[in-house]
Amino acid sequence: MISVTEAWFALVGTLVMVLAVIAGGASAMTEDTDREVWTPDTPELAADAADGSPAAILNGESYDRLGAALDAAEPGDEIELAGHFEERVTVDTPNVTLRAADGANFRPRLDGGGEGTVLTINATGVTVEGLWVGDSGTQRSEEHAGMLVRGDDATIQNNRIADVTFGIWVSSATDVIIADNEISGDADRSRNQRGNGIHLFEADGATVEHNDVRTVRDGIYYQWSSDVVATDNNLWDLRYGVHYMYSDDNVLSGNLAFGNDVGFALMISQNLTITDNLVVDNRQGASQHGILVKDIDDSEISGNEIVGNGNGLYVYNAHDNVIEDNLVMENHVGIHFTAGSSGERVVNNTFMHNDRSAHATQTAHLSDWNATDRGNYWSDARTIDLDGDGASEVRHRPAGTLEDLLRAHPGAEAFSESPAFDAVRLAESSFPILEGSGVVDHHPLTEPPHDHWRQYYEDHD
Amino acid sequence: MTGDPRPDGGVTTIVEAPVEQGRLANVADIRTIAGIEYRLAVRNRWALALTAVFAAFALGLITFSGASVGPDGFDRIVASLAVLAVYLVPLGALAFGYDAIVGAEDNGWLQALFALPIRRWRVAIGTYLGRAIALVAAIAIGFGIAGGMLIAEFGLAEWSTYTVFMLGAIALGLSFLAIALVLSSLAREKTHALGGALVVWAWFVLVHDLLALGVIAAFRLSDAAVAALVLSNPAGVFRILVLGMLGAGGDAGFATVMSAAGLSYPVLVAAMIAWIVIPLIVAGVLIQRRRL
Repeated sequence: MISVTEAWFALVGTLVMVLAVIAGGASAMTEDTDREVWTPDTPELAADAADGSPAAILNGESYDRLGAALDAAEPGDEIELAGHFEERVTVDTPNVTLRAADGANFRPRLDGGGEGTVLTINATGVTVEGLWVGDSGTQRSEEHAGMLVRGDDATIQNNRIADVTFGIWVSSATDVIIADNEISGDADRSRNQRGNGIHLFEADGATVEHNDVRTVRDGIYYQWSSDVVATDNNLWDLRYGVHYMYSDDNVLSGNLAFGNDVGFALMISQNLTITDNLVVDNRQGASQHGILVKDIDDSEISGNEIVGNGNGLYVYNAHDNVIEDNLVMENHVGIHFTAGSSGERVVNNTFMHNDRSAHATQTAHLSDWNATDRGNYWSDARTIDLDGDGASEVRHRPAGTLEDLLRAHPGAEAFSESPAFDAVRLAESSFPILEGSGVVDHHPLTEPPHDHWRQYYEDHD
Repeated sequence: MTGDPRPDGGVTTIVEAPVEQGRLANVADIRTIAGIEYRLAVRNRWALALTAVFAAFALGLITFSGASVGPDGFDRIVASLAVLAVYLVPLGALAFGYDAIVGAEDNGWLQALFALPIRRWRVAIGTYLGRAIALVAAIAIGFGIAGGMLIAEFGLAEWSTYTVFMLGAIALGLSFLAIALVLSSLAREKTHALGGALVVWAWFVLVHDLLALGVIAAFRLSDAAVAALVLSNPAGVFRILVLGMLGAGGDAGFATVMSAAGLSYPVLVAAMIAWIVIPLIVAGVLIQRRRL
């Protein structure tokens, strides 16, 4: 019926569709739609606690009880330990060092027998190095801990602390150094029944570095502690990775928090410096924030990578903070801005592939974040850069009418990406007369300032 | 039988098909008219023009989105193409189909057909099928060219989503071609059909969804009501079919809302087919009542 001259058109069309369907069927078999982000390794706590008979060597003399050796020690003495000590001890002599005997394959073990605090330090300048400390009491209200540090200038280094309620409790002691320790609580207890890994109470000037903390309540907990520098710690399987309360002028840098309910919970503090940390996959609980910024003033949060959390940043009644140069990616909400937060400077961040870039609950108030002529990169922004300076001349509303609508009426999601959505967005960015509440970025960037974001997909696509 | 190997305009083929009341003759009527419509569409360059428009817009979109090609760039490009197709395919189908009946009346062809012993609704179906073949081929080739470029850049790994996109675009085109046929069967004059086509386009592409958003914002709707709002727009059904397949750029909320509203793939596909078949039936009924 259809003559040859015109039939070619239908034949070519049919051929294209047949090829497309065959190719589609073939590729459907090899399809891999996982979009997980990269997750870090979680090493098990090494099982290298000593099991032999106990020996504490002080000035060439061997004691079978550590308590006896400590009673005999003079200030500045060094006690070498080997074997398994089933006792709880207190150090009252200044500048004493407790450490593993040279050449031992296993760590000398201090075993609290499930009661009280295992090792208490009351004197100044004490060093504890290379021990295994475990099995403290289980009463959180009694502050049962692996170690309780009450003396200034203590050094707690390269220890393993396991099966404890609190790990290392520093109580009213300044300039304590806590480095290279591994702390692990009781994973079988619910998070709220555990103590904190490193508990800093009035611990001004402490240094906390290279520690691994897992399965306690909060990884590093600060209360009334200032000028603490915490770097390169790994914090996972916790309620909060880091928890600040009433603690000003602290530095938190280069740490990794993942698999917690909240990565960093910053509360009621000022002048914090939170830089270059990695905050990944914190959504194991009710809060699910990467970084919670609650009642925080005059602080700097910069250069962090905040990936795959519930809310990347949750900013609650926080004022005059700088949030700069962060990579905020693959979170449910990139930045949640609420409870009257104001005066924030949010510049040069990359907001990449979050389900929602931003959510703001301000009523009748439009937050204006740009203090400079450059804003942030939003992977969902419509940018137009006429003068080629990398910043768009068209403003972007990361949180506006549609975001509010979707929040209140999830059913509207059915119309996402529709021309109607585009029309509302266009109207919002073009006609300031439609000014609602929310957030506006006057100079959205056309390229992400963080060009290494793709590394998170390397293992998965 | 004139012996002409290339009968022109189909006149001889109608003579060729004897007027019988058997089932075979019914199909022959429709096939003959479809063949004429198809050949006219190719000869008067409509088919090529549609192909060129689809290919040009799709290629332009792929070229200009090149800056943001990431590991999941393929999904994003298909999502962008789907958004583009929501505008373009209905417009193309309506422009191609609005004059199918009323235009044939203008130039006297409809009167000639109605004078022959052919059921009127078969004229409508034949006209639709002929133009549908041309439109389907135009969509396949137009977006197929763009698809070829995507294969060159991304390989075949995720091609199945593009196949779904193309099939969806074809269904979308068929549905709006059927709606155009309704308008054409209804309109007294070509200009009325054209105006109606533009109103229909604006309604389904923009106004319907805007109103739906407004209704959702104003009232607390049940899931079934949201589903009804979606299904009452073929462009919306297409958009959700393709974006749901892509996971809407990693948005888990989208899938949740879809499943809560009962918008599974079988439902969406059935709705899409209904949006083709029902307008076609309506056009068949309208053309029976049409007064020349």
